[in-house]
Parts: sequence; structure tokens; C-alpha cells
Amino acid sequence: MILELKSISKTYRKASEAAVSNVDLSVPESKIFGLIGPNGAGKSTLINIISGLLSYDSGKILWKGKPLKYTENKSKFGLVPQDIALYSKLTALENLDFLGSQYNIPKNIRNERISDYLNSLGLYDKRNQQIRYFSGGMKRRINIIAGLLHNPELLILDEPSVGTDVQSKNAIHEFLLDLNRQGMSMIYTSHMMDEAEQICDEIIIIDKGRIIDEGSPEELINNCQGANSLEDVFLHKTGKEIRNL
Amino acid sequence: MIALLASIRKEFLLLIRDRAGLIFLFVMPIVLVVLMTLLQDKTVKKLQVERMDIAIVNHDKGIVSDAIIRGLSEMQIFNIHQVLKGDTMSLKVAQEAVAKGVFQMLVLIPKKTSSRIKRIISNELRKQLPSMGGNVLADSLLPKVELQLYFDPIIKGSLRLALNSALMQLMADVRTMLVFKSYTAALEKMTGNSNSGDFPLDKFSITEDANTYDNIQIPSSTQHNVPAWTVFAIFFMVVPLSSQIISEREEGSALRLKMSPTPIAVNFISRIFIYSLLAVVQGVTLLLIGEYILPLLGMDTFDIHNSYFSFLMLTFIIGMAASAFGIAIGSVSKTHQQASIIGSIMVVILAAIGGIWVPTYMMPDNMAIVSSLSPLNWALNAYYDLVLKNYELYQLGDILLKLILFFAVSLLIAVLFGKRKNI
Repeated sequence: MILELKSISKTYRKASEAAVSNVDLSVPESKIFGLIGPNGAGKSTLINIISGLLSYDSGKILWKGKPLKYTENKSKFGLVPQDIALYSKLTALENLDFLGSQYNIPKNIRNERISDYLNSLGLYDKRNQQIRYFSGGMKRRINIIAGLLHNPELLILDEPSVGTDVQSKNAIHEFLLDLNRQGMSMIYTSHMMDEAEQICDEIIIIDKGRIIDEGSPEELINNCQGANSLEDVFLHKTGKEIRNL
Repeated sequence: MIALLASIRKEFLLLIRDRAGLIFLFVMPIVLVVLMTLLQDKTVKKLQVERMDIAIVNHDKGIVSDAIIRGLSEMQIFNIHQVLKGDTMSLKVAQEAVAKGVFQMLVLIPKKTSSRIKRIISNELRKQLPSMGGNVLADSLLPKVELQLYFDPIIKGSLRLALNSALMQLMADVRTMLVFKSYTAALEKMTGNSNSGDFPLDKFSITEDANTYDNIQIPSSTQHNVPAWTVFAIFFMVVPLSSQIISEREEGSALRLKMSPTPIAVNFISRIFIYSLLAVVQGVTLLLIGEYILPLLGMDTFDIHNSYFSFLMLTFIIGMAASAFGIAIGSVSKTHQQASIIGSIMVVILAAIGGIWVPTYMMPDNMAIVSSLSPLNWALNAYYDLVLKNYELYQLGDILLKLILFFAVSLLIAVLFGKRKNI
């Protein structure tokens, strides 16, 4: 396992209930690990804890079996946040060059990776255009590149393709699957069940801060009576009630 | 080093692409410098005590009025006017001229001032030396000698008091001289000995240490407004800078930076460096306005006595203090609106109490104390020292220390709040 969470709990100040309660999960190496759940289930809290951006109250996190110290292992993690975390008045190239340099990647390697990734996601010709003039799908693709320029061992993707058109979504999926085939481990959250079903090797379903089911997409569907898709499983496990969160 | 250089480049690109912000940071102070210098020029000139225009309406035309006018002239701080537009001034004309600000003070020397003083002295002499003969009048029957003063309303109380005292001193000198002459004449008459000469008033004097002149230097409108609006413009960078911090946080790029192994301090240092350079460009722009544009409009030239290095370094340090303050405001604030309101209100208040709009020397004493709490006041005083006292940077020790402390405290606040807010 590349990452293991052991009995992780987190309660926010002034909150009456825990955002995450006694969560145990294991992220297998070189796999795409899905994390799905309704709004307010605790996904973002868990993602922030895994990314090292949020402290937790109890439990422990292991990296390849050893206790994890984030300050010494920041380069092992890559984050693709749900928001477009880029400077809108910088060009794609300027953004990527700056963000890559924050990981002290030497210039020649940085340039090579940026060109490769831009070509892979069909954005090389747009590299000198400011981000604010990009379409939603183009921004999403740059957002993904920015998270993996330093070649992280574990890439955390929070709804990476939300709001994109079919072509962009397809390009993103193929790109991520290709990276995964090269050995990159990933944690993937999404509200789109078909997407999770399509690309994740293993999935956990989380609700109200607790893990309520886990397994491969096939296992989850087969183990749920009457379910034909991951969406059926999801609705069966989390209910049809709309969450106002 | 890679991270620092890239961060500096990023800050530079973001700054030059914020055209609206840049225009605001340059056009606003240029307009304010020109406008405020023009508006304040006349008033400030009135307050500069090097030469004050005073009107004298002389209804006496005797030995006393002559002595007073001569005494005022010898002080070399007054331009004395008895004539306006070719005509000798009447009291009414002179009063109107003072009200309009043509003269800062009017002295009315009433009719018979000289003869009345002589009468009082003679009466005193007869009282002291009955052998001189003649009637001695009771004090209540003696005439009063009273000069009348009218001041321009903008003249401060302390200056009025000083002018009052100076005139009283002149009157005392004249009186001493007349008393001395009367007694000398009486003694001559009594003893038959001839006793020529005047009372040696020139043997009585006060000397002042030359260094104390530093404390009463009043800057001209140009000497005040160029540095004042430079300081204001530099500190106003707080508004776009804090807004940029919020954008970085809202857009999520701050999150990326936090996840990178590069310490958050690198981001702060690069930002402070670029914005301090911006402050230097602002300072040089306003310096050039003061040197070349204001003289074309009839104002004084802004002269920093070739202390360009000190000027640039001081401006850079002020820029550091202002940019750290901006980062602190951005770190403390939650939204763009909050940052913009808190930033602009704080800068305006600190400018107001710091003597940017109304110079500290025009403020009441208690406000002048409050003024010394504003970092804008420290910065302004440092510029005053360069311009008025010909100081070099190394002579600004205390002020630089205060600015650097302000910088450090602001940065500490930024780091503490920045950590809490995941920037």
C-alpha cells in the first residue's frame, strides 16, 4: 500500500458532529482509488487530511508502511483541486513554469515536462495565452498538469473533469489512465458515478464521515441487490434524499 | 533560488498586468501632488516666518512710531508696508487687506503716541524731581498709549504671541530710551554737566544655539506635498496588494503553494521585493514631478540636495513596510470587499493623523502626539529630514528602525494569519 489511514477522526471547531470518524482506508500502489459520497459526506475533509492541508484529531497515516511526516514528503503528493487553482493573468506556460519551479525542478526538465504534458492534453499551441481567456475544459486540463509537474508518487484529484465537455473529459481520462499505467497512484473523487466506475480500480463510498462500502466497481455492483451500475449502488447506500449541504 | 527567482518573476508579471491598479497607483498621487501643492502654496508661504508681510498704519509720525518701524525693519523677518497700490493705507483699507490675506499682521500706531509717552515720562520726572518744577498729574489723568494689532486668522496663537512680545519689547526699548534722555536732560540742568549719548541698548542681547533652528523649519508646499503624496501612494499599494492575496487564496493557487516544499516566506519575500521596487518607481516619478513640473506651474522646485541614493533607499524601505502591511491586511481579511475596505480606510486614517493632508506643524499639540503613532508620519518625517536638514540615510536611524519594526510586525501577522487560512 502506498498510503494507509488508520482510525482517522476529525471534528471541526464548533461542530456538533465529526466530519470524519474512525476512517480506515488503504490506497494501493499504482492504482486509481475512488472516493465517492454525497455532498457533505466528508470527502473534502478526507482529501485535505490526505494532502496534509488539514490536521486530524486522532489516528495515524502511513506512507508505504511508515508514519508520514508531511513537511519532509511534500513532493510525493500532487493535488488537482476542484477549483481552477491558477493565476488567471498568467499564460499557461508562465503558470506551469512558476508552479514547477516551486518544487525546484531544474529548468530543462521543467520545460521538457511542460511541453510533453501540454502536447498530451492538446494545449501546446495555447501555451502563451493567458488562463483567463481559456475555456472551462482548457482550464481543467492545465489545472491537472499543474498538479503533476513534479512527478508525484500519489496524485490526488478532486473532481478533475467537472464542468468539461465530452471531448475534454475523454482526453482527461485517457491522460490519467496513461499516467496510471506508467505507475502513478491516484486518489480520485467525483460526483459522476459512470466516470468513477470507468476509471477507478477500487472505490470507497463515504457518508456522514464514515466508510459505508468499499471494493472494486464490479464487486460493489455485484454485492448490491438489484444494482446495475455504480449509481444504483450509490443511491442504495446513501439514500435518495437530497442533501442541502 | 529557482523558486525565489520564479516567484519574483511571477509577481512582476502579475503586477504589470494589473493595469487598472497601476494607473491608480501612479495617476492618483501625480494629480494629488500637483493639486495639493497649488492649493496649499499660498497658505504655507504665509506660515513661513522667514519674511512676513505686515501693514503699518501710522497716525503718530513721531519719534515713537519711527523707532517702532525702524525696530521692526531691523528684525529682518518682516516686509513692512505703509503704502498699498501707491496710496498710504487707511485703517479700513489695511484691515481689508489683512482679511484677504495680503498682510499677515496690521499694526496701528494711534495719533499722539509719541507726545503721550513723553507726557507720561515728564510727569514721572516731575514726581521724582520736584525741583524741576511744574504740576504733577495724578496717574488717572494721564493718557493711555496703546498700539492696536490685527492678525490674519490663519496665524497660529503661538506666532501671535511671539509678534505681540516683539512689539512690546520695541515699545519698552523706546520707553527706556525716552526715560534715559529725559533724566539725562534733567541731570544736565541740575549739575551743569553735559552728558551726551544714548542708553547702550545694544549691550543687552540674547544668543541662540544655531542647531535649534532645525526645530522651526517649516517645509514649503512643494517640500511637504511631494514626499507626503509619495508616502500616501506607496501605502495605498495596500489595496491592490491585499486584494491579490485574497485572489490567490480564492483561486486556490495559495493552496498549491502551501503544498509545495518552498516555504511560504519565499512567496512573501518576492512580493515585498517587487512592491518595494514599485514604491521606488512611484517615488522617482513624484520626485521628477517635483523637480521639473511644479516649477513650471510657479511652485518651488523639489530639491533633495543630490541625496538621490538616500532617497531611493529610503523609498525602498518605506515600500517594504507598506507591502508587508498590505500582505498582513490580505491575510487577515476574508473577502475582497473586506480587504479593500479595511485597507483603504486604514491608509486614509493613518494618512490623516500622519500629517499627509494637514502637516503636523499645523496640528494642535495633542494631535501632533497622535500623529507620531502613524507609520506614514515616520516616513514623511524621514523625507523631511532629507529635504530640510540635508540628512543622509545613515542619519535617519530612529525612523528607519521604526519602519523596519513595523515591517517585521506586519510580516509576523501575515505569517500567523496566513497559516490559519491555508494560504
